[in-house]
Amino acid sequence: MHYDNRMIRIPRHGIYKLPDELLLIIMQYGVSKYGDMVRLASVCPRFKSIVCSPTVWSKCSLTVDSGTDIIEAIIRESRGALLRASIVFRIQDMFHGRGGEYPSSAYHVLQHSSLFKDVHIDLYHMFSISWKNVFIKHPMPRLLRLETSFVPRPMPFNMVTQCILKLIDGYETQSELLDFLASVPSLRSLKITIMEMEAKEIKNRSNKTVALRNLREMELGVDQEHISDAAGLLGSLVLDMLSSLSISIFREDRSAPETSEIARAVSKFRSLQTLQLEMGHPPKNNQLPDVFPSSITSPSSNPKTDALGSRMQTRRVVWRYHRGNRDSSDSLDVSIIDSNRLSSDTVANIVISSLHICDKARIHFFQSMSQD
Amino acid sequence: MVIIRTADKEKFTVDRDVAECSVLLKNLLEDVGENEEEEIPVQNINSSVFRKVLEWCEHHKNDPRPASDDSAAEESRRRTTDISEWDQKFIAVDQEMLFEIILAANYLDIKPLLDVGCKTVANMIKGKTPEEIRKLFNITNDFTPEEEAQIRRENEWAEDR
Repeated sequence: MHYDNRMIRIPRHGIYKLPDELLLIIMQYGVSKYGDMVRLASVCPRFKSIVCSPTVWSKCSLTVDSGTDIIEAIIRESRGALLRASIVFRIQDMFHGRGGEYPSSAYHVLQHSSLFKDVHIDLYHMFSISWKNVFIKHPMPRLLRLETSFVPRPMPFNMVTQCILKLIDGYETQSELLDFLASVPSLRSLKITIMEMEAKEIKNRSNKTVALRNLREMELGVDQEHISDAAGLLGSLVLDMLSSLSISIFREDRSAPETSEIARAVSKFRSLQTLQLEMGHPPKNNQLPDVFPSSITSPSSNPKTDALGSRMQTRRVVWRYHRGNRDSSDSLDVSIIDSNRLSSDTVANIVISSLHICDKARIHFFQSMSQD
Repeated sequence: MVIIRTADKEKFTVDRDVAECSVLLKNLLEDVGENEEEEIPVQNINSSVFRKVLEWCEHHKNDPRPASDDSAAEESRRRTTDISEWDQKFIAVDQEMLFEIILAANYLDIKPLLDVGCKTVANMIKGKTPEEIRKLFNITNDFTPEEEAQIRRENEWAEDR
């Protein structure tokens, strides 16, 4: 694709009202891969001239499916702009001879690692072990955002402000996790999912303490077996600036999660403004879980809203606790999903126990379409 | 309170907190000082659009203001086209109003509102063919048939890559 220098007559209605610089912003949002560029450039000469700017080119992710010709085009046309890269291999890739230890398609992407500002590496867990050193072998000094399905070996990730770790079916230890977090000092937003991991490995607790002085937002998702590990992780972190914490506990059955350890860990985060707890089922005895410490009373600003989407579709109860500020008192939002599938006693008990913890409780009922 | 006059000469009395969502108005208000009698003109915006912009500012007046030099936050904001539920309802307007809101947000320098508008248009475009995009926005296809055939030939293999 090339720039088009012809004179373009611009009518003054509809989308034509927008100047090129605003269409450029729209196209930056509308492009995430090369195919998007092609579609937009095919609309009209004006779109083509705008979409061919280096800024829009740099929005195209380098992926293992791109092919060397497209990767080279993105590198050339983005003219040194920082880029996004996505390396995703699934189990089926293994059967097609891809996704093992450094396949060539990954090399084509990783050879440009010095330009990455945002990288997403998602691997079937069997491959993860050989990829832990990827950031050492392929330095990414300008990385701002990191998303992986394994815990990388620690190295100075000095500019990284956002990190997502999906540790599902992996072989990580808490010590490895803490060592990694200690190497990301600028982190502002952290999301960790811990599920189905080798119990003996993750139970290998560490006495280390890691301070993340810039962390503002944290989301933690665990299955029922790892609640204690999540509490251990929270207990090992010093988070002076944390203002929003979301905890999701994934449960398949009706047994009650033990949340007292989490409650103890949460109570030390003095700057916390919003605490959200999400569960698959109402807790045992329909009592409000004890993660909402009465010690959360200091002033705050505006409450943040929804952090975790509709991961559990049935019988979900979400408590969202907001600290008050000088104009408003503390408040609690309780969302009861599938309320029509719960007994009236259960719903009533949730409402009553919610009002016990906070005078100002908003209860939202969401009914499912189908019945058991 | 401050008084703001739109292009069609309508006057709005607005809380200073709300007006200061706009970097342009914030700067103008700093120049005016505490003189509440002085009207601030916004010459490029009509009252119907300004009323809509004020509705957004009222809802978001307590949000932290984006720092102009915070590239990490901007990068994070610009990474997705997710729009909050309230903003989605707010921006569910006809196309003419949508584009007017985008222009107003740009003129008034309200970056988060500009993002909401641009993300909305980007979401409308997503997954659509060039012909569907033309139809959606009433865009004239002024490629010559030869140019169009060439674009198709060059790029048909790249659709999903």
